Amino acid sequence: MWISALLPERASDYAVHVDTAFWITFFLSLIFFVIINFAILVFIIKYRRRKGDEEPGAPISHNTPLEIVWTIIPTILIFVIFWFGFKAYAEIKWMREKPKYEIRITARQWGWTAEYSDGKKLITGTIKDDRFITTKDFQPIIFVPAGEPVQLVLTSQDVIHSFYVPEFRVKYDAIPGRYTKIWFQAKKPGEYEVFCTEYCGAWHSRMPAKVLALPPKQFERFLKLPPDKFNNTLANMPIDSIYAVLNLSDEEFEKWSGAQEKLLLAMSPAERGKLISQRLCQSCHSFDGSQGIGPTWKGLFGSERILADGKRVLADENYIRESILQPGEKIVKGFQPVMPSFQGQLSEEQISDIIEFIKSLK
Amino acid sequence: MEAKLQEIEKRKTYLDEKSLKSWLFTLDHKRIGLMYLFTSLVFFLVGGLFAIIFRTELAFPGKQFISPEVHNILFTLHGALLIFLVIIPLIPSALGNFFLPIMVGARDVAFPRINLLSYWLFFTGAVLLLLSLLFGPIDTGWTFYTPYSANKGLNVFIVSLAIFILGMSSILTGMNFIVTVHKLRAPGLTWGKLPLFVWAIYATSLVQLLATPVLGITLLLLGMENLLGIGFFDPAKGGDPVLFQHLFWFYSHPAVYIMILPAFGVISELVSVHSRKPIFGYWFIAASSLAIAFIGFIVWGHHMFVAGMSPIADIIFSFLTYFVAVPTAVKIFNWTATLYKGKISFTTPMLYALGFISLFLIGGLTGLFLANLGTDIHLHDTYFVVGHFHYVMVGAAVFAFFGALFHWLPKMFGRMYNEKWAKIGWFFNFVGFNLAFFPHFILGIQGMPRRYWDYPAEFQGLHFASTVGAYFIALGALISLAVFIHAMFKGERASDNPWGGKSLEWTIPSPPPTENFEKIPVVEEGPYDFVKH
Repeated sequence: MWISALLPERASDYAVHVDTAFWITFFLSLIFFVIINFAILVFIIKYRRRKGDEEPGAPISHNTPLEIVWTIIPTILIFVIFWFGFKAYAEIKWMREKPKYEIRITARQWGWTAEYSDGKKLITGTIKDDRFITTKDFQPIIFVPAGEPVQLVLTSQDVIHSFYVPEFRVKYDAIPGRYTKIWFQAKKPGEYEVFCTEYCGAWHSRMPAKVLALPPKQFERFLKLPPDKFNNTLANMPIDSIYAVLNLSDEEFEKWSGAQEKLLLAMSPAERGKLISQRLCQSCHSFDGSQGIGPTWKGLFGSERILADGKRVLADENYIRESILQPGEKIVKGFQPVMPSFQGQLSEEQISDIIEFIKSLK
Repeated sequence: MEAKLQEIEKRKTYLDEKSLKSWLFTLDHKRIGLMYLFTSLVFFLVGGLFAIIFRTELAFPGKQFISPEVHNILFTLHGALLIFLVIIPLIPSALGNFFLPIMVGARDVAFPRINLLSYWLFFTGAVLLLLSLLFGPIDTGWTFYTPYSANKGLNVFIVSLAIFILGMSSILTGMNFIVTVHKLRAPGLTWGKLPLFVWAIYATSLVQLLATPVLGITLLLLGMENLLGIGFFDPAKGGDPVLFQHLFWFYSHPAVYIMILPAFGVISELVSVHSRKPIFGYWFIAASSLAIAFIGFIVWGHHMFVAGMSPIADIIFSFLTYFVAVPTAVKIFNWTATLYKGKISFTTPMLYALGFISLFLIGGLTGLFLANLGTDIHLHDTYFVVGHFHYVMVGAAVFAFFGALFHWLPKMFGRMYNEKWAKIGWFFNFVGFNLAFFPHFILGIQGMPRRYWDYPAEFQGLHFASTVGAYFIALGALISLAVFIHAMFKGERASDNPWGGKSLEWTIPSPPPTENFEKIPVVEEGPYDFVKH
């Protein structure tokens, strides 16, 4: 039906309350719109001035009963609209039962991190690309069970962002230095896009993510994934492979994860570093010498850096390590101190991998 | 006839003195009004050009020709220029300055020197706003949300200083108008005989006077944060980013009424004069202007339903916001009822007035969805909001401005515009506007966030339609301004009262003499007591 085509799919439990408020407001508005426009149309045709008619219009200047009536009617109707809006709001705001799962969502310029209570941590990067994107390019990082309430605790590590899932009809700001909470219950398994809706800078439009609502069995598999091995790897996989992994039986899964481990072991540290850097660093640091928010990495290693205070330092391993963990300590001349710290977000091994990757960019 | 024309040519008018100095240092409210008018029109074109550039980028998904950084600078400047330099001053400072003193039967505003100071403050602020581009363009959006805007350094400081100065100008103009209405009304011109345009400008001035200082303080704090690193709003320095939103909207919501109330006043004049019928429900319209001005001060929180306010505050703000709908609806009913049994002429000002009612109706009704706690969570910061405020700010405020411009053009310059071309301009504006902005509602309902340099390819069709509409508006605006400029210099001589208006500006010669009235009139009839014309 065209009506359901206007709003996105109703994918959360409370979406129906929002849509009810929407359609009630819509039809009341439509009635007013039609009445007023119809009246205007009739009046301007019927009472148009004929050529040569120089008389003024009828000297009707007011009609108090009529004016009181058309003040009271809208006053009553706004109470109706307010009430339905309030009802939907109450459904979104207050949970009916305590959610079993809580996920911490941290926004940054420009991407999202989802952290689970067992230590799993999935990160999306910025799609810095001149070509167009489709909803297929939205990387799933928020894994939830369909049919069960989930709470998200939102925060931001830099500026204000806003977490928006149109199909759930939910949105809330992620504010630095504060935690805000939302909850939802996906009605059925599916993929639901996440948009940032608070303007946050250059690549505001390119920090897409996805909620993946899973059937119970797949969600159980997700819970069983060992966090240390799969941190950051799921976020790199195409969605079909994610589903394939989540559908594996215990035995098949053992085999697959063994193979994955071998694959990672077979990679050089620089190759592993490249995987991480593409996701986390490339949005500000180019690998090919082009300009960015931060200095390019091409030819960085071993070069002499001129700092904002005029000092000169050699870009060695310790300098890079310090720049990742305490980015505010040494600012290169001509750049703003805007880089967030990655302290606690990267393992020692990952930091050395990134350093190896930078070394390889001659 | 020939003799009469010669007599008209010989009349002394406020336009007689031609030297540059006589313009730059004039104390005549009419000349100051025109200086505002032309300054604002220049920025209108510049701000519109920015929109055309980024709408072209947005016609197709992916990058077309501008980077996200440039796109963000363009939409910021589009918003900042059009709000602070165009829509806020356009009707009150330009047309209000010209007509408010005449409509109350005065020779000038109460403080002509302060009026000139207002203009030059406005000009200084505008120039400073442009100069800030030299220090690195701003990309914060016209809303300057912290902490994004808190660490940008000098350029944000300069922009906030510029808007602070613009605010000073706004405060002084508001004060000047309030005193003029209170003190300089002609004998016999009681409050009940004031044209509704004067009532609307009066209500606007009250809001300007009371709300603008808060914007000044807020921007000063933001400027100090950027320049001196004092942590008011940046959590990294111990500030609170949401506090900025409260302070900002405490001004910027009333500012919405600074932009729309004067338009209401214009429409009351146009609808009544061009249907040659008394305005229906004079007192309800006058009172609703004041009611909107008052309620406008206690609803700012409806911009922050997803920003981390307490639920109680959300609920109260939503509830209060709905009360703006009542006086607004009353006005629409009254304008419609004014048409009943009128003698309606389809002049260009009337077409703009009718267009205004239709477009403002859509703008107002879509506001109901955004005041609604449930639906706002879905629609907040999507294209639905962009559609809503463009219907109000452009479809209503700018349409009212164009209507007023053509309505009062014969009075300002003593010349008539080309009716046919003015109507063609209206047609492009009306069709183009709907084509450009109606798709925004659908995009927003489907979840398209605003301020995006790029969007998933699924949203393309409606974005393309919107861009086509933007080109239509550009064409319509250029035609309309060309008609205006042409009429100003080359238009046919207009009579002193071509529409048969009854308010005082129609009783004096066109263009008016410097002192407006040879003798201060004694007012006996109301502004809408039309007679045979």
